[in-house]
Amino acid sequence: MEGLHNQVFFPTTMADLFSSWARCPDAVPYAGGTDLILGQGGRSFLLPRNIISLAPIEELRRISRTERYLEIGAAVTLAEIFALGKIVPEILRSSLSEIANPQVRNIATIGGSLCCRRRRLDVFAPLAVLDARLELRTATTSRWVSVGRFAPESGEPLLEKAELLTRIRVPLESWNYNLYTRIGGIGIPTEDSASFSFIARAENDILSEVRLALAGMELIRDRSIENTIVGKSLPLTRKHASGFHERWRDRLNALNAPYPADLLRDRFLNLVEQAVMGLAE
Amino acid sequence: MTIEFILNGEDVVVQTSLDRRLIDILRENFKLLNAKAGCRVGRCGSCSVILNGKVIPSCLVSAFRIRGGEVITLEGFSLTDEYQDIASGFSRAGVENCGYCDAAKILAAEALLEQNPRPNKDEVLSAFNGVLCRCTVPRLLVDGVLAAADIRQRRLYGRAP
Amino acid sequence: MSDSDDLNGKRVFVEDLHPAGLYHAALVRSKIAHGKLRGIETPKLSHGNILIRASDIPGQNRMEGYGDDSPILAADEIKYIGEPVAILVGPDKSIVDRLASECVVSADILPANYSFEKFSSDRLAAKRTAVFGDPDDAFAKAAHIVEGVCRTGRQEHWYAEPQGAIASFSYDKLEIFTATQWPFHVRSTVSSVLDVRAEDIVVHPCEVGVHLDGKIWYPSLLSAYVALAALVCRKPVKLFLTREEDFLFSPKRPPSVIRHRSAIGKTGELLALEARAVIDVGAFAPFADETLDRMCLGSIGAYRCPNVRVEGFAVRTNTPPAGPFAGFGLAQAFFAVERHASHIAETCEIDPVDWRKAYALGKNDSWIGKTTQKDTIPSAELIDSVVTMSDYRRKWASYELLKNGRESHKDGPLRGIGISFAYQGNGFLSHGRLSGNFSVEATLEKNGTLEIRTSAVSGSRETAALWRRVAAEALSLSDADIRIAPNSTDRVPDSGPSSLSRNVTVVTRLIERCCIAIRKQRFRDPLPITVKRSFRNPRSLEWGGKKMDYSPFPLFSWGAAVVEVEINPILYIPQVRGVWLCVDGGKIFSERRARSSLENAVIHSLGWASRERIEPLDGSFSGGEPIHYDLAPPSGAPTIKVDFFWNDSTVPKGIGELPFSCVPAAFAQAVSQAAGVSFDVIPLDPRLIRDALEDS
Repeated sequence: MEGLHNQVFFPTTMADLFSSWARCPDAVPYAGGTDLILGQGGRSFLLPRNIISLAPIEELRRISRTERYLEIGAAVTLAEIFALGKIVPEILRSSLSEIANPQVRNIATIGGSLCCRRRRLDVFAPLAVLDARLELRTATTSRWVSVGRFAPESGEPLLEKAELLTRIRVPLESWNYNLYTRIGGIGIPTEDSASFSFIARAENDILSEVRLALAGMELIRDRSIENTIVGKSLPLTRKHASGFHERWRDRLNALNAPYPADLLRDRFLNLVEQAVMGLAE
Repeated sequence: MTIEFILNGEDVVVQTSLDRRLIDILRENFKLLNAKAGCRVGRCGSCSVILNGKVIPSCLVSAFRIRGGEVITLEGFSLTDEYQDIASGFSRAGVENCGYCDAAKILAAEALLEQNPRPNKDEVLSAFNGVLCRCTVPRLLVDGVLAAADIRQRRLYGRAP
Repeated sequence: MSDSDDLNGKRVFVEDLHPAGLYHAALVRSKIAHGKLRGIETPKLSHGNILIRASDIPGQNRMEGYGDDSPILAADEIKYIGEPVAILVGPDKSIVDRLASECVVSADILPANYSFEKFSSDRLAAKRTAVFGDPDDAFAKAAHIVEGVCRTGRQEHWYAEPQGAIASFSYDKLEIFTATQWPFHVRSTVSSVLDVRAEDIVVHPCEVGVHLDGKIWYPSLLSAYVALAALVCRKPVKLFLTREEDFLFSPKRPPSVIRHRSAIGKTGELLALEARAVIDVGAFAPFADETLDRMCLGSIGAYRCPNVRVEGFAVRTNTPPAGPFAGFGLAQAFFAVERHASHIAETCEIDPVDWRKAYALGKNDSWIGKTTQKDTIPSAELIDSVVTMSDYRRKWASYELLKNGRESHKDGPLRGIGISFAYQGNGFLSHGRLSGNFSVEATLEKNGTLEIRTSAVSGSRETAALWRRVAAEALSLSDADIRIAPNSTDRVPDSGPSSLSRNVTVVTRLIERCCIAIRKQRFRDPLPITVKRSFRNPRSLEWGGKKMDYSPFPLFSWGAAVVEVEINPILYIPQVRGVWLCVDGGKIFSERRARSSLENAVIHSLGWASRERIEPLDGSFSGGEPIHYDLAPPSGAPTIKVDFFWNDSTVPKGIGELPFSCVPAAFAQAVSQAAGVSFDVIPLDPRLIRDALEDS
């Protein structure tokens, strides 16, 4: 991060924002800022040289709801989302309640959480399994991408130049099974910490949807494994359930993936087993 | 940069660099010392203040973020009936804090009771996950907040919850 | 600044003090762990900014450490990453911080030692050896020999306020403001460093809060820095560490390795016990003597054993100096000896409760050579209490059945329960200045009010209330007529360090003695009457093979604990279902305060045992900074039940350290039962739990 600031823009509309950004292309959008200053224990902050404050833009703090979706502005804080209550899908609520601590949740925003470059923060896993979609806008374009596409398994979020995450659209579907677990000490994002989300839906005792994700240093999800038990009757047979678990184990072994490793890998596989055995006889 | 905001009910102006933390502005520019810079990473809660109606860790807030906003510190909050509810509740339960975490505990209690006037034990304890102080005795904290909730209900509605 | 009525109970923190015209200090620190200092290059220092080096120290470049003195500033050799080599001082804090960070310390790198388990004698800061009886003969006759090694990790104090100090000239005196447990140690350190009379220095203690013994000697070092800077600049100077800096460089609880070997008789009795304790004291070892003494004594445990061989080693490494932490070594020792006691019980196929009850020390029992326990030790009562409260026997038997009956860790809950028994040694052991001569004064004024003068500091209002009560009872005064003077060093005598429960035991007793003396004089002599009473350890602890025919601690308090856990088999984390504690603390003045103090200590002791982890990497703690230190949040707090052994004792005893000695071993035993594998290392590593469960 660069040294002392140079200037801060306070646009009040999206048009103002893009105009400022065009004038100062290296300006960094700043909502809660918690991720940008994470771990800085010194006296002053090391801030980006130029900043665009997103707080004054009312459009980015808007929350709206239809029968099918909950739409949340990227600058809405995690606490504000949690406070919406039961309209927020259970898997997302569970995640929000365990992020950092109540005071930090009053300034950390959902957009900031999704745009973290170092890793996938906790809220990524529930949004991935909910198939949330993200609106990305430039001055002249607008597109929607899935959470999974927005951030590949590892690496930085796929934002174009001068592109801003503006809205998060969360489908409001009912899920019969929800399992959320945060791995790691409360409030501490480390290499060994991650969030695990599992949701499933059954119609007439047939599994119609299964989704599972782990968000930590990387985002782990595999639709092909999910689909291996879609269409199966509930309760699942032990064979189907353990097969699901074994496919995950094989996947991680086959790729010889460095992530998740060691303890986190074992914890993840245990959670996979717990999730799928919850559907079994 | 010149930053105008409302501090404990008064319009104020401060000249500061933008990389300064709100906690340092409050303590050094305005001599409001109840909030403390205990950790500077948003974990201990000792820097808690109310910004735009929400309890936040002022060590994580850059100067420019308060522009046009409203900040209430423990000094300002201590003039309210809500503060008295909490102070009385803590006193009744025998909560004896070390003094350094006063802002953390009182404002965490207020944030909880504002959202949830009748919390249960687990909700109380979760509300204090942002208060990491070695002086904390969880049992007394629960007793203190529940006592404060009771006092507030009686004050507002003249009856027990 | 104390509990004085004059201040209306207002707490004063170093962080809040800003004398007019204040300058700020920052420390220029070494970036290497071991080397020969060649020089310090500074950036251009603008007007008003000054660099102070070791060569600028007018007096002694050392702080007395009661075991191992520490340099104030590195002069020649650097011994740890972060060791201060210079002080940069100036009027603007941001500029001072920046300038200090831009200084370059150049040194010829020397090999660094980070390991303390293997060491040569030149790295020893202290050593103890003692033999009582004939252990070799006993081993030759043993029915069983049980051996084991236990390890404990560091612990960060995480006191609420990071450390700092202010120095300011006031007329002809130099005033020091710092949160310290021993104001007179600050005074003597500054006096020695500046080469000025101690009387010309006045230390004003600030609020210490819950310090867990993290503010005994480090404030003296920081005070020396600001005092030096104030002397050079002729301005008030403040040095206040950020949490990050405090975390990286202030003292921590030292890690330990303790090896036990016991000869056991046919019925399970201890015939002989050998203990070898090693601690890592870091680059310098203040208070190493006290810590090692307590660790060696604690390693012997609280069981009858006629033949003992004990060795202790305090080893220097190129890491930041370690320091006292609630219990000064007894906690580490009791973890090891209580795990060992459980292994003995297991080897002899005796219930761990029954073994402890059978062999715990009692009145008139011999202990360490010829020492005889003169006081009643309610070991059976304490153990029975926690056993009953926790329903230990039924649970232990059930969990043994569960453990032995399951085919894999996925069959049923993984539960365990553990027990331990320990003591808290009140007061200091060590010879030298730590053993005395410490005093309290009291004056009964003409108007009938009493002023008590002591340098003791307390994080609790209850301690002052206790002193007032004792004085009120002795002199038939009301609370309003008793005043505790501000404990600045120009107003009070040196009452010694406020640690190891001395406030409750030594200081309270001295206040009582003063009041009794005043009572005897008051109707005979005119007012005002001033009395001073002093305390000196009756005898310093001696090692080196001599027989010990005296009790090493002036007072013992006793405790037993039970901890029940269930291991989460998904995440491999033990969750504490309950903690039960029974304590003999002598006369309890405030049950409410005693209870909350014990509950608080239980939580911190569990933190040490289960999650608080700091491991240096190549001599530095960075990578485990404040943001990652895993303190237990309130929502994770277990149910804690506390009982007291009520007796007619008239003597109050310290109890705040008992949980650190009792709880970790009981916790580890519980996890061991739950996992079916013995755990003898804390903090517990979930990886080891995973390995144990997967292997089973």
